[in-house]
Amino acid sequence: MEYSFDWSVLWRYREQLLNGFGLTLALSLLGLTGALAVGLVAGAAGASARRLSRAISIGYVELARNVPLLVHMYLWYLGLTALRLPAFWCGVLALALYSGSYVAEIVRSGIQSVPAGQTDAALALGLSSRRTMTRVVYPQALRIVAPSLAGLFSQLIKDSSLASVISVGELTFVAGAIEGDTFRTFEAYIGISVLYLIAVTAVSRAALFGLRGRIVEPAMRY
Amino acid sequence: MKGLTTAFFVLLAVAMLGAVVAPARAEDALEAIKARHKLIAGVKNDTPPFGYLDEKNEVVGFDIDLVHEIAKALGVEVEFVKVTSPTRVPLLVSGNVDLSAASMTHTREREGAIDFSITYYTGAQTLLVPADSAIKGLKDLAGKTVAVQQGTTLEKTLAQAAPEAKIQPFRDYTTAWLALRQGRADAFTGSYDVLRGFAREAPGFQIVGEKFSLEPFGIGVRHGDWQLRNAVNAVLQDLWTSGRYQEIYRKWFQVDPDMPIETWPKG
Repeated sequence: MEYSFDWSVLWRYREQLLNGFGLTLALSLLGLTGALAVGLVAGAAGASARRLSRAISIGYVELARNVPLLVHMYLWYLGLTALRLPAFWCGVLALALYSGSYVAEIVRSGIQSVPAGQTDAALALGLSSRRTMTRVVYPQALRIVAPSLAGLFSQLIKDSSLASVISVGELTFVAGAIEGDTFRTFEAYIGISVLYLIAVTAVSRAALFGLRGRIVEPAMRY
Repeated sequence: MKGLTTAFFVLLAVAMLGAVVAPARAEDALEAIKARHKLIAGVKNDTPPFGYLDEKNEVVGFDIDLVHEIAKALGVEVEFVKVTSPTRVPLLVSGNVDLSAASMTHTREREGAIDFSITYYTGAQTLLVPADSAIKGLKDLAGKTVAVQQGTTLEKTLAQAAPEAKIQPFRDYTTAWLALRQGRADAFTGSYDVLRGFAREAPGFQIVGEKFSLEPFGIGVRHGDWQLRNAVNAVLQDLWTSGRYQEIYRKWFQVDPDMPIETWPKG
């Protein structure tokens, strides 16, 4: 093809690329924190014995999960115009609510996959039902779902690229800007792909390691 | 180890890309067009009045009419391929389209990636604001949020013309327009004729202030396709001398062109 690559473009735009990378990480980490908070609660509610909790959990999961993330972005950005919430936080909100529904489903199935005998045994030993959950069921459930959650986290980093449509200056947005300025489309998008690759690899490894080592082990004291 | 893995993936990505865009071409695009009796043109479908979809869902506009004229002059059929900002250059350099008439502003920087025809339209940048806005021109933009399409010459020009303004770039024109309508932005900057197109669809908005930049549009061709570029340049000049260009211009902009197309002596 009649095209010569010019990778120096990436170096010329290094400042914007670094800023974009930082925003992608911030967006993903905050989105992830929100998704975990929402998802753990909704997941526990989904596995609860109370019908009302289950209904609310299912309602949220279905609503949030069955709407495309792109629509979530527009919805929170344009829908919350009155609040004048900055685009960045609309992006975080969209990511947290959307990914939170996946976390909820993973957590719910994790809790339900802990054998009923564990609950029976804990109750028979005299643990309160609350302690049965927090000390016996949840820790085992988390260990089961750790790999799925790690997978979801790497998905979330890539999903954060959709925040570019609401003018959050993250990596994909920066690639668009470089493309517009220079018409160096290949260089810009291959460049950010490498940065995504690094971020996703690092974060999913760390997540897997962290979930295994930090959250599950303390439960073994019992 | 991680460095190695990354390097491997980069190579892989480049290799995959190479495989997609591989077909080597020795001949000029002009010969290819004549051999297949068809001109394949990349055009926009979201930028009225240059290239957009009409009620029948067909792509129409100023750019499209010019491409029809180019095809007619070359004596070939024409096929339109819709392009967006991330695809317009890859589709062109990979040979999927012969030329790109996608309301592109010709800049020296962009010449590094593709070549351009002579200027076929000159845009001027202005501001669109709500009718009751206090903004009357560039001087009133201090501290105001101005929506603009990202990666455009518009964005840079505004930053120079109104350094006090808060510039909010969006990935496409349509979202920037939505931001203005929703009150997310105080003003929306863009090409005069594009803004006029938007203002027509929603009353309550008006164009204010002077035109503060010139945006020369060019038709993009691949580096090295000088025969095609010469042919396109010749057609544009003939359209001007025959008066056909002026007709097309009036059809889409309702006024006479304020900038002539440069014409070169035949020899």
